[in-house]
Amino acid sequence: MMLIKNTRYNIVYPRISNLRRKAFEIEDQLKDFFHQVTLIPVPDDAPEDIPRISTTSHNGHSQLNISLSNTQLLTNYDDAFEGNWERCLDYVENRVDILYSTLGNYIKDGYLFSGLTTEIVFDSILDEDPIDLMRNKFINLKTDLSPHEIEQKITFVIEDDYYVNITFKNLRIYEGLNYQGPGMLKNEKDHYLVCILDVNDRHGFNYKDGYTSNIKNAKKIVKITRTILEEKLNKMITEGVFDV
Amino acid sequence: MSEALLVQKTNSPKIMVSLGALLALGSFSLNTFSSSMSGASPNVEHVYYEEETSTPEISSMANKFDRYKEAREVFTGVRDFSEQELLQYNSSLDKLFKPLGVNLFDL
Repeated sequence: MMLIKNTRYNIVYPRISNLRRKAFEIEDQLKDFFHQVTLIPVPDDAPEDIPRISTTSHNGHSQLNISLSNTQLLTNYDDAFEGNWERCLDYVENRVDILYSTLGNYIKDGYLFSGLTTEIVFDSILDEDPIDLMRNKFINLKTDLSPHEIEQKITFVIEDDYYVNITFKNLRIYEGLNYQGPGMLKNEKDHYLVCILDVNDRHGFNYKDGYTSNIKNAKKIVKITRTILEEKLNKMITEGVFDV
Repeated sequence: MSEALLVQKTNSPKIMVSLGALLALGSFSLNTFSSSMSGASPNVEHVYYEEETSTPEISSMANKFDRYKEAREVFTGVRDFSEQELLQYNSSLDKLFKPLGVNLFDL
């Protein structure tokens, strides 16, 4: 079964000046979905991608951080959501709409680019060991040894503006006491196949003079992610066919 | 001690240097990037960039503002003892205190 563990939506834009003074306006615009904002006391000359404003969603699943040049919405999904990727992406799309609407008051010359990173875990229902699956479906590895860890990243460019980064790796989970010392990983609990899907329009930013990004690009990013989750991902892990 | 789920880390810890990090640290700016690419100034150093295809994460407060770093920023000018100063410091302590014959760290 495919479980959406978390999503991270990042919007990158030119520096916003005096962001702290705008905090309460931002809080007011987000109040239906997020708690009161916290102003983070960092020096004014701190790097611009250090968050200045932070808040959480009313139910505590999402953390919103706003810096002078990057806004990040990180959402962890619970049992009620993680098995239903459509609900997860509907949630992301809705919140991203609100963020663009809010940030749009302060960003006059367009956004630089944005991206959605989705972490998907295939739970134990897969009948093949994750290492064997990646060896058999993805890579032509000639060795008699059994790899302990494999991580494979493939990047596609689609429609000239979008990178689609697909990373497959195995993830071993261990059970133990909250103590870091010798033998701490003796008890392996689970071994999963994980896919990290990162879709963004950074290719347009990287290659096109004067490129700007907007809400249409954000919607396209969510749409590409939906298509891959709905139609492509299963084919990748069952047949080893990468088609985006 | 509480029970916890652990994820194995097999990579050696390393300091990461990327264009994004350099931009974040202010070592490079987008202006530097464009002027170097356009060749507008003959004095601008020619540089090479690695293509970044991933969505950049917002900086983590935990990474950039750990307690040690915060303390160093609050107490600017603080440094470790030199070898000579450390000897003087230890000899001063020896004059002030008598040995108990017990190592506290063995207790």
